[in-house]
Amino acid sequence: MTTTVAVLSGKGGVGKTTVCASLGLGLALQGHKTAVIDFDIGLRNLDLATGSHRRILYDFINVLEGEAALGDALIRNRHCDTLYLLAASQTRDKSALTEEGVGRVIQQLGDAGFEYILCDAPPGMEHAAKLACHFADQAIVCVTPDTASVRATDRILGLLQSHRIDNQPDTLHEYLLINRVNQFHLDSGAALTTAAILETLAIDLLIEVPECNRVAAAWSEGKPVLADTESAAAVALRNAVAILSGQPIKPVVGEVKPAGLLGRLRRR
Amino acid sequence: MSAHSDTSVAGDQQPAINSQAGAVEVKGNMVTMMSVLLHSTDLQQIETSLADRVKQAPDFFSNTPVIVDFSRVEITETFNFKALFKLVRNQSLMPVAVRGVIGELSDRLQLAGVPIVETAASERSDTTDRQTSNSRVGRTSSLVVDKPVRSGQQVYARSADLIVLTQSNAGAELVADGNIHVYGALRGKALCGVTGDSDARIFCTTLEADLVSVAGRYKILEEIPAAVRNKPVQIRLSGEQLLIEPL
Repeated sequence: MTTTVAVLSGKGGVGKTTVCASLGLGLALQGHKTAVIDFDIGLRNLDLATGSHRRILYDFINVLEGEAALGDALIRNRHCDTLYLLAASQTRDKSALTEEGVGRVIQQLGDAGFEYILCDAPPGMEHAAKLACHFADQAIVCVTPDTASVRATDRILGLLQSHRIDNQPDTLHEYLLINRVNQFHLDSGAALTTAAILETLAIDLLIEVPECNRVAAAWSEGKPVLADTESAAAVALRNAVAILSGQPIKPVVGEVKPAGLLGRLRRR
Repeated sequence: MSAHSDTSVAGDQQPAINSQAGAVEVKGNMVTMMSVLLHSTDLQQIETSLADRVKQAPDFFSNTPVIVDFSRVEITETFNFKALFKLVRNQSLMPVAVRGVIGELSDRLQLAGVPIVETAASERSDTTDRQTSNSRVGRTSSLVVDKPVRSGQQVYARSADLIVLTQSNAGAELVADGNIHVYGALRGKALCGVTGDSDARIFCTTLEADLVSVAGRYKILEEIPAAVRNKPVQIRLSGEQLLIEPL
């Protein structure tokens, strides 16, 4: 049984790749055979986030075009041997992504015994992002607590809905991940509260991830921040992994209190 | 303001992935467009009153395409269409079509290459207005939307009421020939009675809209009194006046 998860955002720079790498590592550390696929063709990053950037021989497009076998293109993670990366091509065009090709790769990963496939989509809801969602069972939509990000997220949720009406039955479950929650900005009123975000977007909350200055260091080490035992963000991301791999996520719309983030994290 | 539509499908209609479309695709589209409804044929009067209107919200009107609507006036053979279009353009509006012209005039305009859009019979006059709404008695048709209407989405309830069970968000457009009900926050734009039913109303639990309109009479954000914002309201026409009343 394979679960395919698309990681999306309306705006760029809200932390999709950080989240995708960490969730991938978290699931793999639980013993699940996990693949993370970079759909951001031409602007790849997931290789950096997972520390695999100097070991890319073949990429996703090579596999789609039949130039490499899937097994040769999957890069096993140095820290966790159940985590694999399928890197994006840095030189090719995203038009090489086709529905048929992506479907075939996801099918092959399932046949090869992968339990989780995480698709790191480019921001917005263009071709590559749509394809990332097309075969997904779940979509994790990343948002930061600001008006621009919330507006863009509302827009892609609408596009996702229309895309689905055209192309597939309504089986995709969407969850919101609020990233870079900053208690200082919340207290000063500079950031949108979780309650306000959920009120606007009206989708289920997966988790709030606090802003954490250790994320940059995690990137330069090539080790997803989830592995950092000192990081507050890692605690939240590990909770997200537990929710993803466990029982169906409980809807929390309408029950979230705006303040006391850390307290709530501790209570979990 | 009124909506012109060929489809009643909600949301963004994107071509399916991998569709081998040719160089051209012909699609039905729904565009909400303002119309300049003339109550006079005196160019001087038209110019003064249009300038007044535009002055109230210059940003809102800047380079907006409009339909010039002649359905409430009698025009003669000698009417200077050229001068009229020029004065409309001078107010930084872009006339893109006319409606409400009949007979020979319509042929003349068509020959001159001016696009003509059809006029709903119900908009011809106030008396027919009422007849149309009476003929709605017994109509059960309504479009129920159980998901939030999101930024960039447009929902049109053709010959029907539109009932939104959750909310509409900033950047969304709700359009209905009949009434609009929103059981949550109404954000974005809501236009009811767009084919001329002046009895149509908008009901919502929380009014946070940027624009509301009944049968072409509309109010933009700045004109909505603070006292009714973020409140449960109904919006209806009383004569020519758009009323926003607390519920």
